Amino acid sequence: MRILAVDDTRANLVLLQAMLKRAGHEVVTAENGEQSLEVFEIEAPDLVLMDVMMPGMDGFEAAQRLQQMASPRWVPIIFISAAATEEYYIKGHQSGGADYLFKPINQVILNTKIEAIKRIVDMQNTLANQNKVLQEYVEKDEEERRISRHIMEHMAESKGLDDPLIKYMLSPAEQFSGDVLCAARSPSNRLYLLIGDAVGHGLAAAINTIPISGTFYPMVYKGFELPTIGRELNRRIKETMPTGCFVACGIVMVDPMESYVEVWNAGLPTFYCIDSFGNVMDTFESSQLPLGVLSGSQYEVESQIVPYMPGNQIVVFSDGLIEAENSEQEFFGVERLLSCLNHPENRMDDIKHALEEFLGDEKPHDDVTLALIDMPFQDQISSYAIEARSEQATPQAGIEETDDIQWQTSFHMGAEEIKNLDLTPMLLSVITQFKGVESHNQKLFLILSELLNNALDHGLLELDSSLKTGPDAFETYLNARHERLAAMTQGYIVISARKIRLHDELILRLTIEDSGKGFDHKKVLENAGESVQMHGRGIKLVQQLCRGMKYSETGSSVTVDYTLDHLV
Amino acid sequence: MNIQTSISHDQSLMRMSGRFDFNAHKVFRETYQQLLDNSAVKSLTLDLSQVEYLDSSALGMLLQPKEKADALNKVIRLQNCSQLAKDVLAIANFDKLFDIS
Repeated sequence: MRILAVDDTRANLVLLQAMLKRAGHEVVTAENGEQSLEVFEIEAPDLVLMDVMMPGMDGFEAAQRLQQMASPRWVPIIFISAAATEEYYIKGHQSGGADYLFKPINQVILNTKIEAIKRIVDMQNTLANQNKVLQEYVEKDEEERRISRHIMEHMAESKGLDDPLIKYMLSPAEQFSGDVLCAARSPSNRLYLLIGDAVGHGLAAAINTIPISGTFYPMVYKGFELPTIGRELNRRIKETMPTGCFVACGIVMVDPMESYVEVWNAGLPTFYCIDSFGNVMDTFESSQLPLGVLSGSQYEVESQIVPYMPGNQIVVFSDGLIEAENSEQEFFGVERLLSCLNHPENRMDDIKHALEEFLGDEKPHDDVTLALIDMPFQDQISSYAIEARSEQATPQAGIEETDDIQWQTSFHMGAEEIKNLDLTPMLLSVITQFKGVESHNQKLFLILSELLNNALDHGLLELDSSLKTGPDAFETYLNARHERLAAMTQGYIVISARKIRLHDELILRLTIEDSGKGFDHKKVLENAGESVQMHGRGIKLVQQLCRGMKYSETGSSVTVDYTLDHLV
Repeated sequence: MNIQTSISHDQSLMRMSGRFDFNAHKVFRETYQQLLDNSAVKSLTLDLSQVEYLDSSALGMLLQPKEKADALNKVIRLQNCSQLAKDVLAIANFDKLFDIS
């Protein structure tokens, strides 16, 4: 150890120095109180041996000054004095001394005391080092949290949640939310809302939600179907997250144009469909394992489809809401939630107030997320419909032959592909690669999906369009479709796309041909005119969007011309 | 959380009591690893009868011994689940993954 010896008597100092050196210590000296402060500052000794009685600043005062200088570190000081009185002994300790030695100094006792002090000094050093490491860790952690928070906030696209059909609340239990809420519109203007709850809360849970928004948004924008999105979400989470990290997740898809709602719940509390009086019309129980448990090939998405009933609302939430606990260890619970739904206009506020009142001063221990999804009446949704209705109201031109082809491609899809692939987004992702096509993505999506649906439903599956009218038409139709699709083993659809130049227009010509017997396409078009609620209006829309449209005589082949650009 | 373990023949048992949440992470992992790493052990039963509370992190933790047991070709099952435990397991559809009694 490096020891500072302080004594105003030169002989004592020499003696002390010799004893300390013999014990293997390094020694620095000072001959009075003032000097001891200077030497201390320069030499930074581990221990100070301080004579008490010195002219000027005495040992007690010097000791106090030293402690102040070294603060917050504690300096071990051993007082040395000839006066072996109780009063001195007490005063020594009060001045911050660690121990007291009486003259004449005994070498053995001196060594023993220094050893004892050394143990304390070592402990203090270890503690200081650990403290330093801990402090660095805390600072690093804070900085990392700051960066993470920034990234998460900027990654989560929240503009989709501003949709007029959605009301929501998100209230994280910590700085980071393990709950995630995303919403977006597909090219055909369907509304998709996703709610997810990752295991645990805080940063680790929040990280689990990153692959969700990163997968959900692009897939919705490209127009993939709910089951395809669900499967992909599961695959991404299973691949990126360690075992034990899973995400309970649900998606609600509302299609006001086609008048149906698709709901999928994997591991979240039961969702509710309620009417305008607050009565429960449908429930959507968790039917599957959460995402990230089963590998991609083992996971099938089982969704529920219900008719679109104007005035109804879907209620989705994470377990943090119903498990919010008050000071009496009661849960907020589903009953309380459902009792807040009597006034359709104020539901979100009523739930928030009820929760606040219930919790009192308690805070929810988990992230709380809730969303209400509206099904507005038709006249309210017309404003969300594709704005193209009046835009291309030009009289229908015929399909004119031309040799001026800029590019062309075609796909032959067999029965298995038709069953298992989401054809529209897949084909469109190829076609939109060509120059000048991407900006028409939304309208082309609508055109292609309508034509493919007709080819499949009426051509291959031979579903009669009259199934679409009458009571329970919707469910009858969907059930028949589901059964026939599952049973389908042969058949194909050929999709050809070419970009042609016709007079002063650049045109995308699509031909969809199926292997079915054909169907009465005129009837489909007529029905489309009459039905407001049901399927079929789509084909009318295709007519409006396209420059020309022509069915073959049997109905098993259709060609449409879509104007990409006018040449000036 | 407290965990008592026992092994009889090739069957091992973990009897858990108290709150089963993230704080139990370390002791839970060490315990199941030790049991499953024992080559004489062919099955692991998790007894949840004394568990007062379990949350979603507990469900996540249950997946870890499941994965390890599957990899080692050993059997894993949950037994004596309280009603609360059964409810939590049911919402997550864990009955499709585990033999639960």
